[in-house]
Amino acid sequence: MAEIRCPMCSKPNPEGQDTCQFCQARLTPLESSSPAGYQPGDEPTPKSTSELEPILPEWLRQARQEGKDSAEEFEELQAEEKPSKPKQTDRLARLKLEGTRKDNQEDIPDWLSDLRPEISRDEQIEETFEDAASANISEDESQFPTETPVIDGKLPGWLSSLADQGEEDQGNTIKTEGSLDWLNQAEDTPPQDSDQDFLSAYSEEAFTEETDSDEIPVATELPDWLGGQKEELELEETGPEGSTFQFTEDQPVASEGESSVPDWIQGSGETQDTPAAPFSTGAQNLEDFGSIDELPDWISSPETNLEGESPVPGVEGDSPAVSAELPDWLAAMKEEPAGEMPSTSAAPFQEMDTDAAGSPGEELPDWLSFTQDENENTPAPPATKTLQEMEPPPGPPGEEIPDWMSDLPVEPEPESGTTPLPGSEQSEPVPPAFAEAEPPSSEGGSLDDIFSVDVPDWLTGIDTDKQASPENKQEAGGQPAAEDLSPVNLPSWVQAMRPVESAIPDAKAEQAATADQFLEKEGPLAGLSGVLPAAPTGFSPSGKPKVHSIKIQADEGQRSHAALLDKILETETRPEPISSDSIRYTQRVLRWVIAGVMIFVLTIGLFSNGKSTPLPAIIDRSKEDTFFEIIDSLPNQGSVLLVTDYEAAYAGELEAIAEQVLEAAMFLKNIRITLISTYPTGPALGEKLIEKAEIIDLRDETVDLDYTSGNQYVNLGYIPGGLSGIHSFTSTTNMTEAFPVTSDGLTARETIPLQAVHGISDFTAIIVLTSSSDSAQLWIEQITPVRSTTPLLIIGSAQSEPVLLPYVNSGQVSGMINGLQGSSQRYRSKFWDAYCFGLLTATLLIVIGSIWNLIQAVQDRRKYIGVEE
Amino acid sequence: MDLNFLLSGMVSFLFTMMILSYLLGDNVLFRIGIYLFVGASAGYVTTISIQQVILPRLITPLLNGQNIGINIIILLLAVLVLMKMSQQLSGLGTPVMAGLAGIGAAIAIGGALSGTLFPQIGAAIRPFDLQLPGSNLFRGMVTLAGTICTLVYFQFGAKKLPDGSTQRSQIVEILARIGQFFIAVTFGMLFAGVYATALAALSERLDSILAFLINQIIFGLFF
Repeated sequence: MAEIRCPMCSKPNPEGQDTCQFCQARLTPLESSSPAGYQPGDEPTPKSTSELEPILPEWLRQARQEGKDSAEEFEELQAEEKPSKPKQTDRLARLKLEGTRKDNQEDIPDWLSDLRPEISRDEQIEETFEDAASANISEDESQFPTETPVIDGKLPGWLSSLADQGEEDQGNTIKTEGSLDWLNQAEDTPPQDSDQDFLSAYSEEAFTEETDSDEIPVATELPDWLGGQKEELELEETGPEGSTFQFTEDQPVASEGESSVPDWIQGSGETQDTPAAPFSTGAQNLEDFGSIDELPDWISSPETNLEGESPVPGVEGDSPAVSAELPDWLAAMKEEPAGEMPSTSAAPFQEMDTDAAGSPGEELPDWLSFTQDENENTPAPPATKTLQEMEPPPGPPGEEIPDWMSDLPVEPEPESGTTPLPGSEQSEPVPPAFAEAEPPSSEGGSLDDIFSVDVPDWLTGIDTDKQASPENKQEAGGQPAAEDLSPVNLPSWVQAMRPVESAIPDAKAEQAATADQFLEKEGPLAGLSGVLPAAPTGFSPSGKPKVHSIKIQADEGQRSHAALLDKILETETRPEPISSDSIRYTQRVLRWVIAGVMIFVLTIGLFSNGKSTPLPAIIDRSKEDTFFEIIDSLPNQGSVLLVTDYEAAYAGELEAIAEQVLEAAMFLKNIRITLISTYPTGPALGEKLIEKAEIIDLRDETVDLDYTSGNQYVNLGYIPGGLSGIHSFTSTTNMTEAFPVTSDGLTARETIPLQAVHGISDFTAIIVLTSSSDSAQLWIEQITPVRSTTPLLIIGSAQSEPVLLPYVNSGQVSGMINGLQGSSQRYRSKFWDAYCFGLLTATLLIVIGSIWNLIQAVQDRRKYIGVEE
Repeated sequence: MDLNFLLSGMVSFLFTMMILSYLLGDNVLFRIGIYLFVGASAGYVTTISIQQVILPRLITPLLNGQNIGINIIILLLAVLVLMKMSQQLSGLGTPVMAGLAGIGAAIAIGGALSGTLFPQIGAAIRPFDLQLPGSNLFRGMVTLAGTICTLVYFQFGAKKLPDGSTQRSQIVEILARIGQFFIAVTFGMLFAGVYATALAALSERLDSILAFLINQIIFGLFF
């Protein structure tokens, strides 16, 4: 028993196993073994079979030449008889003209058209041929009931003998319409899209039991070599039970077939008595036979027509006559090991038991003998497998195939075996038909005649025993044997007769499935399919990946800039030492220490009440002196405009300065004060200042001047608009109209301080209390043009003195005092000591800090010098 | 003891200490004191504006029928200025704001010319007039030198040397150095004035705190 070694575990498995019984790996691939072969539905490729002529053997070329000659004669005759009808001398060529299969017009082999004369010469083959034709007629009746002209009765003698044998051997009627009905029918038969070719159709028809079919369309014209036979058939057309075998020219003839059927066909008529179940599905069964693609259809048809029991006498047994007359290649076929012919049609071959007729399998080619048993016992396998599953019948081509055949280019496609050998076809390579039609019965008389022609060696090498193996293989493995067939260049007309894809419902699915499951052929995954996903459609490696240079294309300028950027980044990314917490803590402590020192010093100065520190000796006291002179020169109850443009933050300084000035003026001169401010908080600060100033602390007593709004002072409030407001206020000539209402709601003109005031120049003095030099400038600029002789006095903070001093020097400002220092010339403030202590402390701290920094700078310089050295 | 004085003294003391807490760093008390001052100032300014500006100078005259035309125009302009709060309607207030800016610039220029530029030019010349009383030539010379040197210091024009570097002339360099000295003295005086102002304010605050503690707390509670 053959073993299949697992591609994965390398362990032997019994034949027929799909998967390894050890590792469960798949043993047989799922993909098609012939991807390049012909697939169902493919368009036929036109091929010129005439190219094979040079390599034909001599006897074939001679036969072709004779056939051509006879064809020409036949055409001439037909032209005389029926000029209106197409010529039938070359019937296969006429198929092309009929246009039923336009795509294979040029593919009708010449050798096939030239065969007819050759056949006419060899009656043995012709009988078999006629048998097949008559069998085909029976089917054609059902498929093509249209009336066709009946052959005018010219049948060769061998065809008439076939009819006689048919009457004698079998009472059944086989409808025949003439010697070449099958050919005529083939001409009229439209192309079939079914899964079987016309060969199988003809074969199938031959095995049908339509004994009572009425009429069969018959080709109208017959060659000369068939004409005589037709006449004989007309004489013998009487059949049983009214069945007709007419060879009338203009109407279909229903013939029983026995009249012109040869003897070997009569044998087939006997087989029609046998259960016709295998042939009821004649299409399938016939395809199995007809799928022997090596044979031309005209050969395979009679093969199927011949039922189990060979009608040809003398075919039984070893048939030395046959073997003697068979060509070498046919004889060699006989000797072929059965295992080399895997085919789905092997099923009938397998079941064909040679015991029924002695040992026919040994004496006859297997493909000739299998039909009997199959027709009798086994149902036919599905017809869809026939063409694809066929196996090339011949054995080793190098030995049994003729030289001319071995030189033919053969593609490794399973259907290659279906390519008809030129020699076998031309020289009545009817052996398959005869083998089918002639079971290995003991009656082998006619078989010798049949095989008197030169049968190819590969036909003779077919053996039933050897064919049984592939069948078994197919049955066991479930793999169609046709997968092992090698492809070959088929003629287009053969390709056109292949089963179409639509007839094979699972073909696409199987193809898609196998396409998705790619079979690994190498490596550790060899033998497994579908393990790795196939590359997506459209993906194709574009070769080597492009090598991109990683070198930056930069010129010198760009490189220098890059280097500069690197340096910058280097300095930026360089970690800088973070000042330690001790340093920050020291600074914070130092700040607290300084603050504590200052608070302590000021507190001490406050407690001294401003009497412990002498007044400063100011070098230039002109502006202060002028200021106090003007205050002292104010008339009694004079109207004074007091501008309070300062923030509350500066109230401590300015109030300390202005309080004493106002106290003196209020107490001594009882001045009337008009408050105004460009600051929103100014009016409130002015009133607060007046409240403080009205209380005068004398040495032993406190005097309250009791300044009230509307009487001693008036608060005009806030002047909106900044500079514009100042300009509006200073430029007005009717103060009470411009400011009709005071801040406390009084009518301005009803207040005492404003009764005599109409404009800015009506005030006795203008005193500006300001902490900002800018505000003082605005007032100076706006008042100067309109103030006339009214003195402008400024009480400013210490920080505004440097900016306002030029206005004093220019005479725009009559007098000015700034800070505690300016007012202390006349009025010692209680903050004077604290102020002086604070200044002294600050000066000391600045000096100490400067010395400390100087020491540190010297130390750092020494360290730097030491490091450099 | 005056309760109002006590409460105002306590509030002022607390807020003063909260502000002084900034010596310890930024803290919650300092922020609370700042926020309260800002809020109180804003509220006070708004109140002052309504009480002392809008009501007596716009609404009251309109209600009393005084200068209605002018006051309506003023009201319309005020409403247009309020449109500046809206992004879609801010364009309506732009003309009014432009008018205010133009008027302010005109007033400022006029005041600067008549109040600062011309008087200051005269003041700079006056020291050199020996006929005038109080003339001081030295003072004038120093003032002039200081003014010129300070202006020269801000002159940054220089020649380009053959080696690519730039350098001012020697005269300009010297004058710039002198001007730099005057600038330093000026900034020193300004800093001294700022410090003197701050010191006076701190003294006043410390005096206020001490007065509250001594007069209101110690003497009030124990005596």
